[in-house]
Amino acid sequence: MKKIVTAGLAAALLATGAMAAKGGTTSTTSTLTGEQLDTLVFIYQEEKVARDTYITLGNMYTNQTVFANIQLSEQEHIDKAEILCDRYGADTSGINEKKVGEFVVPVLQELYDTLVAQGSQSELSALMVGEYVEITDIDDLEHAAEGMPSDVVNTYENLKEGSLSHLAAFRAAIDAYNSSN
Amino acid sequence: MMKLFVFITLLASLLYAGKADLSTPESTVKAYYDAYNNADTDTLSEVMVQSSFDEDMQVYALSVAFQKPAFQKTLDAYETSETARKEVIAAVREKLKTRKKRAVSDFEVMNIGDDRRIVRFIEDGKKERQLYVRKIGDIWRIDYLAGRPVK
Repeated sequence: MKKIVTAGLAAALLATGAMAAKGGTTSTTSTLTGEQLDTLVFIYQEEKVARDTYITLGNMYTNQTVFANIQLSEQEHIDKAEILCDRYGADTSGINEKKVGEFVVPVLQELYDTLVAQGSQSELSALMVGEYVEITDIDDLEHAAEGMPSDVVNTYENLKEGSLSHLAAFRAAIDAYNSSN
Repeated sequence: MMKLFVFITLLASLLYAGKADLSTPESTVKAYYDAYNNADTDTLSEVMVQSSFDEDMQVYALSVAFQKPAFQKTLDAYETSETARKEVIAAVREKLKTRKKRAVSDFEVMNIGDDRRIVRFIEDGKKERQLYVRKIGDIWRIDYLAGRPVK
């Protein structure tokens, strides 16, 4: 599955938000096109899909701490994405971040429902859903660098490292599960 | 070149006019749901801009891929292989034939720019939903990237 809004674009915008929050320069915003800025609202909602999936599966399989750990990272992404939406006047008023598992855009509801349905089948399936989500994120990041400024490319690499770490955690959990069952 | 582009866009708009009503943001959203209810992926591709249509196809095919691991490779090749793309769309069409139909009502259209609107509505009498539409020529099409206000 390819996201139309790649995690790479999210990386560029999240980097901008992080820099602004620290009082740094926001020179990267001037390099973002209107099309890239258009992704803000959808990025925010896509980040929520990942977070909500991990929350829901983590509540099903409470012994699997990997979901709780990675969900914190996804929450950070959502928080930063919301800051960016506010900064650029992107309307998120119709989106209730607190409602886990509820999405106003139908295709995102379908995505969440599909991931959770698959993960609900078994503990192993849930871990494999997490593995799948991270593999997809990494794949998107690897394609996202094309045409981007060097600072955004650097951010992609950092985010990719984060996703690789998440992927390793899911794979370790899968190996541990298979060893004990 | 620009005039040619505009001409082609307007011509395409006229051709689409007979299939689905894309004349207003509300009618476009209704056409979107009608297409899904009728498993009509052809009309769906007219109601949506290309990138949004591709997003929908890949998401709706995901459940098929989870059930059939061999299909995952086809899904992975959606954006690079026309053959794979057609297979994925066909699989989505088959899936939609068994999906319960959904009704939409209580529309509210928010103007967020000359060429974009947020359409909020109720699905099946209780679920709050919203879609983003972009004006292209004389018609409105679903575009997930049209949700940012532009003044």
